Amino acid sequence: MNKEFLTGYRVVFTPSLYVIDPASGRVAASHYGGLSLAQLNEFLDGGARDLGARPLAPADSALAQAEEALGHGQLPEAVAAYRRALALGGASWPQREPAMAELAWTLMTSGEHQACADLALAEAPGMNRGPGFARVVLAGLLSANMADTTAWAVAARAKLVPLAREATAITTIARNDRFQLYQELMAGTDLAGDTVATVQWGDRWLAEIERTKPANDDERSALDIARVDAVSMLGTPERAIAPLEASERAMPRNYNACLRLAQVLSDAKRYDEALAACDRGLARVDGPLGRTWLLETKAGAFIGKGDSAQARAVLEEARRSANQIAMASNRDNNLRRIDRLMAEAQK
Amino acid sequence: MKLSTLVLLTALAPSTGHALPTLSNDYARARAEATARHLPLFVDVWAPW
Repeated sequence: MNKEFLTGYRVVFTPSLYVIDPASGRVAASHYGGLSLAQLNEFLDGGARDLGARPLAPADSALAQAEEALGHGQLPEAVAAYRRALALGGASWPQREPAMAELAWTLMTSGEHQACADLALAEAPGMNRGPGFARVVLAGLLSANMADTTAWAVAARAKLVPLAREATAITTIARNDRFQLYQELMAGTDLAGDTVATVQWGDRWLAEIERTKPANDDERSALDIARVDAVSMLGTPERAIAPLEASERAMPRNYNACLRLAQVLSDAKRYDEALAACDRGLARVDGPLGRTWLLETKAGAFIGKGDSAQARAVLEEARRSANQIAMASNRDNNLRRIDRLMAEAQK
Repeated sequence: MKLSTLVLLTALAPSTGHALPTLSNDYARARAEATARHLPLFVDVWAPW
């Protein structure tokens, strides 16, 4: 499903948003990550500006080149063009903060973690406390966390954690960004050995998830995914079991709740229940990505039970499914995860 | 991987108060429709994880 678009535009991140000229297929605007409604309106305005008849100023033209490169998955070219746009636009350029945020996210997605953290350290303190600031800080902290306890990451984290704490209080940021801030604050405080703060951020995140009433199945699934992330990091999988069982009942045709429930049941060492949840999910799933995830989770439960032969058989099935995934980065990540699980199953 | 496309970019005035119609998982149709109507295309690539 959607293979032509995903490969043609070299999609490397989800969610990714695009404004496209349908006649030529040219990308007029692109963005990685979620957006609030206000940010979405700005994004669409930017796309419309690019497609308009008026000639663009040099900085806006460089920004358009960056977004076109990003929209085709050409990350080094996008980074260069964002940097050029920021240099041309200067301090008073209206697009400076959104462009800074896109640069930070592109560096992060490229694996340029130190460059991303450096950018956040240099730019975030002077930015307006709005969505652009939050996204720059989030990308910088996530990048520092990816580098674990290397010296530069430890030093960067010491400055980025307080900025991230500040960012969680900004009311205009997208919920997805705030949830990711909680996640990176948990990871960052954990790496710093501050377990009290890690638990506090996890509890705050879970409380916000529990306060949110989903308007539809997609929102319910998004909240469930966040719930699993939070309890996994807290090491308390039992806390998510009852809400996920409720989601499974509320979405009888959706594999997502089954998958998430299976993950927490497996984490709680309730392997037989996890296997049953995987099988219920496999009966509902309709694409190779979800199928692969369910099979990996099922194999993990068999490994937990000590049944290596069953785990290996399921992993062979998972490998066949993973090879059908259209998005290269997802396909490769899953194949690597399957290799790791296979190595565990052969011990 | 899911794909939602929105053809009527110009209809995005928040004052409409209505959910905007989208086409799901049919880029070819969305592109053809947008081309015929000379409107840009908004694409949201997302996945439920």
